[in-house]
Amino acid sequence: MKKTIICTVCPNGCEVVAEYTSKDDVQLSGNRCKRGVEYCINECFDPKRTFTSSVAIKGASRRRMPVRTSAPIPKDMLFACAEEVKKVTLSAPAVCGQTVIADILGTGVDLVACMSLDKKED
Amino acid sequence: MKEYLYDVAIVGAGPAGLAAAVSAKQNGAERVVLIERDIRAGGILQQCIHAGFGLQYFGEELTGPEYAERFADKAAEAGIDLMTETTALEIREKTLVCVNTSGVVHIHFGALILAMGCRERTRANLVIPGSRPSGVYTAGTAQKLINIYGNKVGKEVVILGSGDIGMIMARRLTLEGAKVKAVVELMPFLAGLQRNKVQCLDDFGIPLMLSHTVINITGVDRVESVTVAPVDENKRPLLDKAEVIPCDTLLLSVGLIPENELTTTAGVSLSGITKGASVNQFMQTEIPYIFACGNVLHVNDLVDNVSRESEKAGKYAAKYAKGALTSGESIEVKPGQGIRYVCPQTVDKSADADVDLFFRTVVPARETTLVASCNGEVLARKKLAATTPGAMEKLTIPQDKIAGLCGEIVVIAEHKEVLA
Repeated sequence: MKKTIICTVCPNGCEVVAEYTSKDDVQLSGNRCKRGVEYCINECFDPKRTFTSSVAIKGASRRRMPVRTSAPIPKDMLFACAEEVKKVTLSAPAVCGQTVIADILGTGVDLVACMSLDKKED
Repeated sequence: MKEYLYDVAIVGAGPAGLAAAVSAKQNGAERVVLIERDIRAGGILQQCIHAGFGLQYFGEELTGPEYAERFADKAAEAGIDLMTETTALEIREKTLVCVNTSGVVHIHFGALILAMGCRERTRANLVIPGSRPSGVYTAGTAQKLINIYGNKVGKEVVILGSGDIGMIMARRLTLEGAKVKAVVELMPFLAGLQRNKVQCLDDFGIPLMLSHTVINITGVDRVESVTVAPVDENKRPLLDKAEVIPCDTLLLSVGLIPENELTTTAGVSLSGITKGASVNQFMQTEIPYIFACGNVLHVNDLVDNVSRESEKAGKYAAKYAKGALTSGESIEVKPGQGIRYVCPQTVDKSADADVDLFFRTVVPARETTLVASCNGEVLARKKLAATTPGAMEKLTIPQDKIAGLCGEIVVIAEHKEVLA
C-alpha cells in the first residue's frame, strides 16, 4: 500500500510518502525530520481527529453550547457524531467540562461542554 | 455621569485584554478594569469552537471558549473589574469616555491598554462586481451565526480566501450538512496554516483553487452563482478561462484589519502595513501612557502569541502607572529583505529583559535564515527548514546587547528555495 500524507506536526509541512504492508512494516520517505513519524503511521492505519461542534442550550445567553470530544476519535466517525449532537438539548446552567454525551457512538470518548453558561436572568 | 479612577484601564476583554489585565494586576497595579462592549468576556474566542488553541501556552489543545474561560476565570480571581455592555468612545488625555445603559461613563486612568482586536475585510473592501443578493457573508459572521445563534447560513457554498477562519468554516459547514464547492485563493500559496488545509479541506475533499479569484456574483434575492477565474502573475483575472459555480452562499475570508478608530481619537498614528499603532518592546505607543497588544496592534495567527505579548503590555502599563517605567533612547526596527513588517517597531535602550521581535516573511520558502542585525553586528539568527507568510516568526535579542546599540535594527530573511 502507498499513501501520501502532509505532515502537520510542525510548520515544515512535509509531503510524506508511506509505503507499507502492515503496521510493523512502514517505509516513510520525504520527511525532513523524525517528529512526525508517529503521526504519519497513525494517518495510515488509524487517523483520528478531535470532533468539535455545538449543541442547543435553553435558558442561556446564547443558543448554542460549544462541545468537543475529550480525546480524538476515528476520522471516519466525524459525520456520525455531527448527527448525534443534533439530538441533544441542554438547559442552563451548564459548566465547562461537563459530559454532554457519554461514550459517544461507543468510541469510549465523551462529548463535553466547552463553556460555562449561567441561567439567563430576565 | 459616573466617574471611576483606575491604575490601568483596558479596552476589550478578549484574549489580549484578559491576559494584559491579569499581568497588570500581578505586576502591582491595584485597580484594573476591563471595558467590554459584549455581554461577557472572551472576545472572538467565544465563537471559535474548534480545537487548536493553547498548544504553546498551556501545552494542551483547547477550543476557543475553553481558552477564553481559563483567562476570564484568572481575571475574576485576581479581582479585576469587568464592565460589560460598555462601549469606549474616545480617549481624552488620561480619561476614557465610555457609554453604557447608565449613560456616559468617564474612566480616569494611569495607563491605558488598547486591546480591541480586529475586524474582517468585507465585500466592500474587495469591490467584487455583481448583484447584491443575500448570502454573502464574512467567514467570521457565518461562524457567529452558526456557533452562537444556531442558524444555518447556506447549503452550497464557495469560500473566497484561504485564511484560517475560511478553512475552519469550510469544515464546519461540511459537518453541518452543507456542500462546500471550493476555496478560492488569489495568491499562489495558502494564506492560513498548513494544518488547517489538511484537517479542514483535504479531510473532506474540498478543492483549493490557488491563483484564482471571484469576479462576479449573480442572484436577485439570494446568491445564485459566483464566477471564478484564474489570475495571471499580476493578479489580473483571465476572463476567457472563467467558470460559473452555482451556489447560494459566498463566504469571504480575505484578511483582518485592526480596529483602531478609538486609537486615532488619542492622536496615535497607525502603520500603513500593520494598520495598528507602532510600539516599543514595552508595548508602549508614541503616547507614553497608551499601550497596545493583540490583534489591534498586528494580526496574529496564534492566540498563544497574543497572550504572551499582552502580558508584556500589562506588566509595563502597571509599571508606568506606578511611575516606575524608565525610558531611554529609542532605536528603530526595520523590515529588510524578505520581511513584511516587524513588531515592535522600536526598541527602547533601557531594556530590562531580552527583546522579542515578531515578524512575517513575504513568500513561502524552504531553508530560511532569519537574521536581526545592527550596523553589521548580528544580534539574533535562526535557521528554519520552512517559512510561510501565514506563520508569524520570532527572533530574540539578548538584553545585554541592547544598551550598546546605535543606528537601526534590520531583520531579513534569506531563502535557499522560494516556493510558488
